[in-house]
Amino acid sequence: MTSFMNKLQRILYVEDEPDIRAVAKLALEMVGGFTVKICSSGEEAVKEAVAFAPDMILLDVMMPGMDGPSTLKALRHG
Amino acid sequence: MCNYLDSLIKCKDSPNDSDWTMEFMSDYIKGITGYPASDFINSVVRSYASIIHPLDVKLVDSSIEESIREKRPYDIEYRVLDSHDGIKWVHEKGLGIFDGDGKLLHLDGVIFDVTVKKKLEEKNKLLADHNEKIREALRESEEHLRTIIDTTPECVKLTDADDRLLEMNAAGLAMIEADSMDQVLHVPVSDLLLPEHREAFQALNKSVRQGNKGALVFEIQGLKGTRRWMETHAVPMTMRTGETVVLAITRDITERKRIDRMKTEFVSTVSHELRTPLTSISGALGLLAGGALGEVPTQMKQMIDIAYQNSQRLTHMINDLLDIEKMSADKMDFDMRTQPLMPLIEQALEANRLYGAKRGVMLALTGAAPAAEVSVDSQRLLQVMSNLLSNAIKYSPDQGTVAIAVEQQDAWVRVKVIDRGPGIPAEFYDRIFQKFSQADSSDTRQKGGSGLGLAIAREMVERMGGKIGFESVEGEGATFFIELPLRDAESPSSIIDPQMFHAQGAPRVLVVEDNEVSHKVISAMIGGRFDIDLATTLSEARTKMALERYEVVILDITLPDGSGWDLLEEIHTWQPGTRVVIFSGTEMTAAEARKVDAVLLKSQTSKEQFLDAINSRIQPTKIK
Repeated sequence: MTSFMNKLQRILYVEDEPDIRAVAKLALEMVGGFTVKICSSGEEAVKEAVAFAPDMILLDVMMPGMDGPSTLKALRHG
Repeated sequence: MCNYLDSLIKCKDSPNDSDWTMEFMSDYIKGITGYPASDFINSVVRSYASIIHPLDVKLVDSSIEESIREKRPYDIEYRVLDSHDGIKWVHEKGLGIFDGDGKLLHLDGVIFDVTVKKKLEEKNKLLADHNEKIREALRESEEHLRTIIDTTPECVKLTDADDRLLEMNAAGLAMIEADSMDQVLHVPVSDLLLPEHREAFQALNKSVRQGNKGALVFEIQGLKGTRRWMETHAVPMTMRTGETVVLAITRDITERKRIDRMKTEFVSTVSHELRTPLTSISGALGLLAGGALGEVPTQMKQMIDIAYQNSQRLTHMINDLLDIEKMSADKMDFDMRTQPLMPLIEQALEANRLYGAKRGVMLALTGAAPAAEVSVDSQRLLQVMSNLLSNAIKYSPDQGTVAIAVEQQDAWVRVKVIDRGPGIPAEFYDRIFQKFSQADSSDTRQKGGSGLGLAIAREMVERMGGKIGFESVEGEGATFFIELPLRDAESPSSIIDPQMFHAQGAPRVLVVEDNEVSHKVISAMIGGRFDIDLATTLSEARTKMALERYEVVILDITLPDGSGWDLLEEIHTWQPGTRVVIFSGTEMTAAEARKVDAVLLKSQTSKEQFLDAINSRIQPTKIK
């Protein structure tokens, strides 16, 4: 767990709901102290993922357009 | 001339002689009438006409007059009154004797006693009338019954020992989209059912033919392709031939199913929609309450805490509602794994300790079973334990203790949660595990909760193969317990552990199968040669197919969240070129078998056949 926590700094967060995005960003940045990149759709996440090089991706399941599972699939194949 | 069977007569030549005065009469007449012939000759004592039944006089007169007029014989049957005023039936044949000028000289005739024959005829006629009336009544009653059966909106049908259709009413024919009975006579009814329902349907009919009653819900596909949900009630009926057939009354419940689904979807949609804003609210309040944005004045903090706690309560209720709907729609997945029980119990205690501490309620583990291994979905078991623990804490007095005791028995392990609260009133026993039930409706406000916790707990425990129950003395507390079947660490069921399936570098096989016995059978047949991945539900299979590439998919038809057939198209889309092998408990039709690469029957498949079915395209790796 400790080594995992030490490594985990950059989080790519994918969420379509703006209010939840705002709350989660605040929690992750202010309480967790992580570097967070917010994407509001699966498509955006696929575009941004490589450049941001996250340690972890936090992915919403139900989203309009590309949903969580298809985003995950696209990220794996990309 | 005298004949002892009949009475010969000779009447005077007097057509206007209404007394039918006899010139001669043989003595046989005494046998018929009781009067000697001498009485009648020349009407010495009485005339013959005087003993003819008054109702027949006219017939006798007119018949004989007509015979004389037309100079041809007469032949009549009529009644006479005997010396005891009894009625005798006689048959008289005769003809007029005329002189050369055509003048009537006299009548020659013969009279037979036909009383016995007549009485028999009368009796037969009465009997025939009676029979006709019965037949008529039967016809009428059958017609009524036929009308009732033909106009009832339910399907009424008879099937024989091979489940073939013998009779079906109009409503039934409409349901299966047949134009006439001829079209479907002797057709096996199970052919109309969707494959996943056939096994249960045949089992029901078998049981009914053995003399039981039964009911079943299944889906059919009509001859023109329309799918319908049906609910059938079947009883045995013994025919005159001694054969027992199945009489089934079947109702179309498609509409009810649709409304049920709409209701479920509505609740689920609304709950999801409610949960999204609620997540923002409780997230934002949580950050404020936790001081993430700095200190807030005490009074404001108090208000934020109230808002935060209540938003969490609301989240909890909505989650319960979603869970119960998911379970009633059979959409909840259980990730069953064999694992030690105690760590899960400890985890559940830890998770609820804080909730207890708020009211000074202690959680104490008073009995443990360190060796107990169970096959459960750990998240679901934690949820069940949390429901029981939070209930126990909720109803415990302040500063009380909730005891948790784990007891290992032969094949079961029992987890007890014991509180010293008010206990459960006896009149509530029946409803305690029902949805939306709380002992006292005024309780809801006092103690909080959705009234769904125990209903969810029971459903989850039962879905994991366990039981739930309680004991309580009102005023002294309640003990809730769950019982789970023990997994013997050395038993083959631990083969379920996915670790055992992986043969590195071997061709990958996805087994979509919810039955543990079948898992074992499959792993025994091909384990080691192939890298086996397990999915126990359709949704799990979908997830796995989205992430991995498989050379073979072994597919069961009856799965907890639907039919294996539903997956076929997705397999072809997601895993092009993958070999699909059906491994099912029921036989397939030829048309179904053509849709896949191979069909194997669970009860009749040898290891060689199994390997053949998988091997015909790919080469398994030999692992040494």
